[in-house]
Amino acid sequence: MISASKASNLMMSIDLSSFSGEWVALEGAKILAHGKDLKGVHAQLKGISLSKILFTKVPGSETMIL
Amino acid sequence: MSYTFKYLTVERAGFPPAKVPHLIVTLVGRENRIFNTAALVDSGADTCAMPKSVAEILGFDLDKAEETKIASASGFVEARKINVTIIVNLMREKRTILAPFNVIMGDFEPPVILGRAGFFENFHVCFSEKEKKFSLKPV
Repeated sequence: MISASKASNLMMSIDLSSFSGEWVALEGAKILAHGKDLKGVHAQLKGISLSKILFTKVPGSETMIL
Repeated sequence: MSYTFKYLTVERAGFPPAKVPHLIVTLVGRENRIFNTAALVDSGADTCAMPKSVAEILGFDLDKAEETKIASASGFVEARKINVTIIVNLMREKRTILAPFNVIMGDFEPPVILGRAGFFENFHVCFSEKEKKFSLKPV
C-alpha cells in the first residue's frame, strides 16, 4: 500500500458523489466494485489480491453521531 | 515529525458536502488477511471499532470472541472484542499497532473507527476543524 497521504490524495481526486452511503473498492483511481453492503462488494473481487485494494465507506446523507 | 491529512470531502446532491477526518490504514487479521480502508479518526470514540463484515473479511470467528456492549448515540449495541493489527504507512515511517477493537454486531455498517484506546495513544493528534485538517505525530 502506498503512503496514507498519497492514497488519501488519490482517493480524494475521484468523484465519489454518486456512491453516497455505499462501500467502494478502489485500485488506484479505478473503481472496481461498489454497493450498499461490504460483503457484496468483497464478493465481487473474488480472485483479486486485496493488498492493493482500498475499501471506503462513502459518507451518506445522514449526520453521523456514533 | 508530524503528518497532516485533509478531511475527506464528498459532494452530495441536495446536502452539504460531507467532510470527515479519515486515515488510510491497513488492518491485518487472521492468517495475515488484510483490509485497506479509509478509517474515521474519531476522538469521541473510547475505542476502535469496526462493523461485523470487516471482522469477517479479516477472518475472525466472532462466535469465539468475548461479548460486550457498547454505548452509541442510538443506545446500547451488541459487540465482540478482538485485537487487530493496524499498519499506518506514513511518508517516512511505518507504524504497526496491535489495537483492541469492538466489532459492532448487526446490520449497521459504519466505517472502521480509530478511537482513543489503541490508536490515539500512539500519536499526538491535532484537529483543525476550521481548516478541515488533522495531524498525527507518532509518540
